[in-house]
Amino acid sequence: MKFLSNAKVKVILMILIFIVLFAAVNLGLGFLTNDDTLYFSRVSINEMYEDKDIDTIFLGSSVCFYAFNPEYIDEKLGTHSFNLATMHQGMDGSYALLKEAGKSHELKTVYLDLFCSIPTLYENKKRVDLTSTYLISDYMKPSIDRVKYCIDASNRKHYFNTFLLSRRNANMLLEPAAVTDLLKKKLTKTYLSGGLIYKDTKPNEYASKGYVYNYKALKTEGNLMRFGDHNPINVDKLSKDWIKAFDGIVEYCEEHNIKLVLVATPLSNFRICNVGNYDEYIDFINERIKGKDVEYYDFNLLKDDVFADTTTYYSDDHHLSLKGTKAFQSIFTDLMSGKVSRSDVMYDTIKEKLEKMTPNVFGLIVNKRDEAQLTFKPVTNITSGKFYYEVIVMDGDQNELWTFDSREDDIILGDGVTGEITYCDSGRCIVKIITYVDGELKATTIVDVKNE
Amino acid sequence: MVFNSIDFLIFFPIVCLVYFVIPKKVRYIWLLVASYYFYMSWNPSYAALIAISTVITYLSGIFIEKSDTKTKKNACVALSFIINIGILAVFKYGNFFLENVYSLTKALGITVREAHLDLLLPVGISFYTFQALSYTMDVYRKRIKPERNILRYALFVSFFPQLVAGPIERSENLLTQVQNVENIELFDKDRIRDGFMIMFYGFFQKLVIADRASIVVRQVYQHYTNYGAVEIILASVLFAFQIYCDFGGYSNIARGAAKVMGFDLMHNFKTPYMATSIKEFWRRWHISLTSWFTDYLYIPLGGNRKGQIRKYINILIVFGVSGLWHGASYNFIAWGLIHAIFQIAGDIKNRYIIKNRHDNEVLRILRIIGTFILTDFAWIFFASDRFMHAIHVIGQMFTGVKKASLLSLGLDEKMWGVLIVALILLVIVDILHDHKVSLMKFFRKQNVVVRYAMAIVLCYLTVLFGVYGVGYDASTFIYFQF
Repeated sequence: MKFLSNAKVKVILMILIFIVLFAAVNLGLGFLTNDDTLYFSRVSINEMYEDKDIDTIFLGSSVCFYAFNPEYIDEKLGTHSFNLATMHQGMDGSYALLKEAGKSHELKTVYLDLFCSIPTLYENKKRVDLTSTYLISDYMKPSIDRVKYCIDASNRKHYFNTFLLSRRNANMLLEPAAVTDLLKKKLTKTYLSGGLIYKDTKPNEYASKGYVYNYKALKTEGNLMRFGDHNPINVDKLSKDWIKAFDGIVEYCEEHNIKLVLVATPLSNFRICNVGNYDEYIDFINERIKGKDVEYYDFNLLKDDVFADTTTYYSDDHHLSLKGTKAFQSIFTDLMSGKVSRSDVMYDTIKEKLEKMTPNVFGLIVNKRDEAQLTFKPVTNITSGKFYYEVIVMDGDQNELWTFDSREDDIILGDGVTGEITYCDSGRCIVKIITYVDGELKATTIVDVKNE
Repeated sequence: MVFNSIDFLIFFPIVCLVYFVIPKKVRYIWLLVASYYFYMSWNPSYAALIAISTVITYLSGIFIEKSDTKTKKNACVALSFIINIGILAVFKYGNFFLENVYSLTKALGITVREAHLDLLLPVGISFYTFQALSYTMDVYRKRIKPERNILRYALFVSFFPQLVAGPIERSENLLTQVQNVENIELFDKDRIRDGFMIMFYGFFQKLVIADRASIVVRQVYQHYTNYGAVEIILASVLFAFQIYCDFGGYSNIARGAAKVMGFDLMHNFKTPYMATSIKEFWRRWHISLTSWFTDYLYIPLGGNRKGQIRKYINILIVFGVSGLWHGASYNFIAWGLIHAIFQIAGDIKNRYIIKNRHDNEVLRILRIIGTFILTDFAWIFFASDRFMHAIHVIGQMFTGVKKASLLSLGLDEKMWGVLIVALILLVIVDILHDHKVSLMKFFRKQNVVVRYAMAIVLCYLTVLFGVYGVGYDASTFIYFQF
């Protein structure tokens, strides 16, 4: 053809064809090696694009997608909401999704979850794992905003993995069996029609509109335990990128006349108490939004009689279980609709809450030492009392190996380590620690030493 | 800015895009701006040094031509050399010199305060200095007329594809092309395609082979006391391929990038490990440097025209200087001298004992292996931090045969697999090239679908299995330190 005789056109065409082929192979290899069959965000973000009437969105991490069921909330509040929370969503991710949702929806309200772990994470440029970013960016429509989000989310080292889908799990190509297995999963009707491929056990399940059922729940026997303390929230060292994105969200909502409501889903008392300075975080947020038309409800301030911290309300120390979500949503919608006031259901500070709560031991912080030893300390709002422990050490088959009862000893509560035991030094070992305070059983904690 | 970086992946297309659309007359100016930008991305102050070298050698060319007596001409050459070598000496060898003076005075019992120059070694200074000096000599020897346009000349010195790690171009090749840049037919699809294919292969060499091999080399050489002969020999063999693919890969990326823009740079490597003697090795390895030393040092010293003894002395001098050129450290000098000794021994063997036969394929293969073993032994000194480090590494080989699992050398099973397959591919390519089978010709003969497929496969081998990005530390090209 005549136009192809032009050398310039041939060169341009050659380069364009190469680029197209390169991009196609990138997508193809990425399809073969990236297992997103169980990524909720693949479904939820696509659903968001398809749902044209959304006026309310929820943004945040997994605590948020377990906690807010749009179907329930819409029924109670008369909204058309969508839960855009994703796993480990950073504030930059929240901001990106807000802008994305704002492009095709007339948003009236944004609920932004402020789970306290997120702002204490690394600055964007120091991020090591970008899965939380890819959970969002991979499913955003192509746009400059998407590129900008990806670029700002990390340092340059990550750009190759970010923009070359084929590179992320390239080593999988060296395992043909794994590629075949993944291809089998992806070439199912379910996946191809945008559904999720669950494993045999289903600890959670995507419901709709971004909400996820959390089927896991803590057992009724056994208070929370954790290896190692939670860190106090250092408000002077919060991630600058988090703060910048937060301010961006506040400004965006202001400019677009969107009501911004900051929320924090209730974490377990074990978590809040162990962090120790949660009130400083609340004060920081309040200071940040001073003078702005932004509401802030930290549901960690909920009163005991309104939202009891029973272990079954949680699946771990910060995620609500299905049961917990049902209880929480009822309070949430009552508060948002004005049925109840803040002072009806919330304390003013965590300090007040812990003081007014029934004295309790919420769980134990455990640490492993050398020579098969555990040390532990109680997480408690009890400020004085005599603590003692009954310890039962069992093997993996629940056979008792030995027991120890310190009720003859008076251990006065003090800082740091308050207990020390030697467990079996080989094989699986389960340690049951029953905490008594002034003669009253306060907590039963089960430590599976294998699961460090 | 290194070739294996996001910066270069953005820089190069932009430079090409502008280069391809701007008027012909300003092409060289754009390339000059781009080259200086490329160089200054390392450190803006580097520009001053290369500019000085450029101006000095530019003026030397003009004054050499204008000088009416040989004395004046010689003076111009001498001045050019003194200033350029002086700058190189200060920046590259200043601290080496001071360290040795200090050690000597200490050994003699003289108390002297240890001095240290706080100078950054400008990237590529050894390369562009030699390139600029070759111009001075070429004008002196009337191989080329002096370039009057300083900007064109500056582009010859600073042309970014080959600026920081060669090849050390001669004015007859590169400067001539710079002078004719307006006449380059830019939109030559075949040339552009070939250029990109050469670049892809260069990136494959660097990122898949060199940087992967370097993981093992670094592990073993930095912790040699944990390893025995097997691991040390393995690491040394891998180093031979690491440095070949690192340097050869760079040269290919440079050649490919230049080709895309219409320039032909010289081949710097011609299947070096297919050499059947050390002498032949140096006709295949870092060819631009070897020819530079041959033309501007070995021959002026007398070459082989002044008897055998003088010839051997000249070889020792040239290789000693070559070692020193590579680095201000005794291990590099030792490396150079070892090659000189091997070359002298080979010459004596051929002259007085037995000449190499070229008609027996088995003997030829044995000579290839033997030459590889000799060069690899010398590489131990190159791979080591210091001379004594090399000695200790060699000594460690005699403390035990095998002390560690291969999987403890920094690579898992899959990565070893990738490295081995990549090395096999490299060896096959080199064997084919050595037998004059041109893979580029083979590539060009294929239909368009196969050509695209080959390009995509070559590209993706690097994209997927290259050592870069997350999980890897950025690995600069070895020869950048020179």
